[in-house]
Amino acid sequence: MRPFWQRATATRWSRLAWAAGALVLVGGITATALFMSAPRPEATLNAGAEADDEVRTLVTLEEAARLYEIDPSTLRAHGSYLGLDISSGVNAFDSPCLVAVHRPSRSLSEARCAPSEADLIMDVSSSGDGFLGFEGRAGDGIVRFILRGDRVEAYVHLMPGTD
Amino acid sequence: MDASTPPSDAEPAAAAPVTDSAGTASSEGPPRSLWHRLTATRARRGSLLVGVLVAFVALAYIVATPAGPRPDATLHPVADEADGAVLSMLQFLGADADDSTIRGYEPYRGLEPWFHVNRQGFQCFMIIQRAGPTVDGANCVPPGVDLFTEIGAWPRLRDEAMTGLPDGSIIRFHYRGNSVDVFVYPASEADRGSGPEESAESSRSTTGGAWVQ
Repeated sequence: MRPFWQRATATRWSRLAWAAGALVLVGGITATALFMSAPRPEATLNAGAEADDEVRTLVTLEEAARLYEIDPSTLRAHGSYLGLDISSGVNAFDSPCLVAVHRPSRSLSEARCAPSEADLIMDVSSSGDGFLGFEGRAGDGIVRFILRGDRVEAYVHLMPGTD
Repeated sequence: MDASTPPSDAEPAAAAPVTDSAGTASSEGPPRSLWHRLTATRARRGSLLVGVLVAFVALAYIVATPAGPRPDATLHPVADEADGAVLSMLQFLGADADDSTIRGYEPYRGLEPWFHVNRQGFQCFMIIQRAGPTVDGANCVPPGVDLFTEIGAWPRLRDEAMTGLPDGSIIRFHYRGNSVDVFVYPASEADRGSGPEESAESSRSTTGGAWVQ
């Protein structure tokens, strides 16, 4: 009677099967670990209807947005998150853009455009212009909005001990 | 399995001499395959298993390492304290910087990345141009968050540092601690508009990013 190890690896095919099984196992563990360790957005905002007049007006008038030459007619609303109305559009240079509007203060909190080759990332601070703190969320920090195709992912990063 | 175990029938015999469990060569017995020699004893099987695991972990690490675009430049620290121009820009921004954390990096196209930690603990980044001087792209994030800032080729600013790049291009600076990675993203030139003609501001405020005082 031979030991299990010896019987299990007796032929080349059985050894290949063991190697393939080990590869699949390790690949599965690695993929799971990567999936679990990747940061998850706290919210995903899908593109909806055209942005309203207030957003388009702010983009047209406020210097922080005029700089980017965003075409107001391309703006689409993605909804509101923590008191910020998020819209996406395209500027005069064919680059995707993101806009954050703070409704209570009727002000443009942030705007950002980047060529398609770059990830479009927009950070909005909890102590940015026009408001103090995120709506419904205590703590100081930022919300990072990232455009992914036709949706926007929101990641909240707060200072430890302030939330 | 002991050293005298014969090889499997299915295995071609290798030409190597037989070794016993202590690894010493033996002139007796039929030659065995590499596999059988590697798994001849429990210690060898253990070593083989550990080796395979290490190889898998190394492979997983390589696969997991972000294979993003390579930076167009990597800038190294050149200053660990603020000079007059930097101090004036920090004052202009209202930054409550911890002086001991201020660090300047090599310029890129005349753009100097400066890092500091403010009194609240936020990690902050800004870009200073000596000609002017001007400050742009100020951004602060909590510790542990990827810190970056970017400068754009916006016609309204007529930024000399962006000369040669199409309007709408950006240069992104990623803070890496001991260095700063620079990525240049030229805008598509296929559908460029003609922006309004305006002169650059002599000293502009932040055009993006969130500045936390």
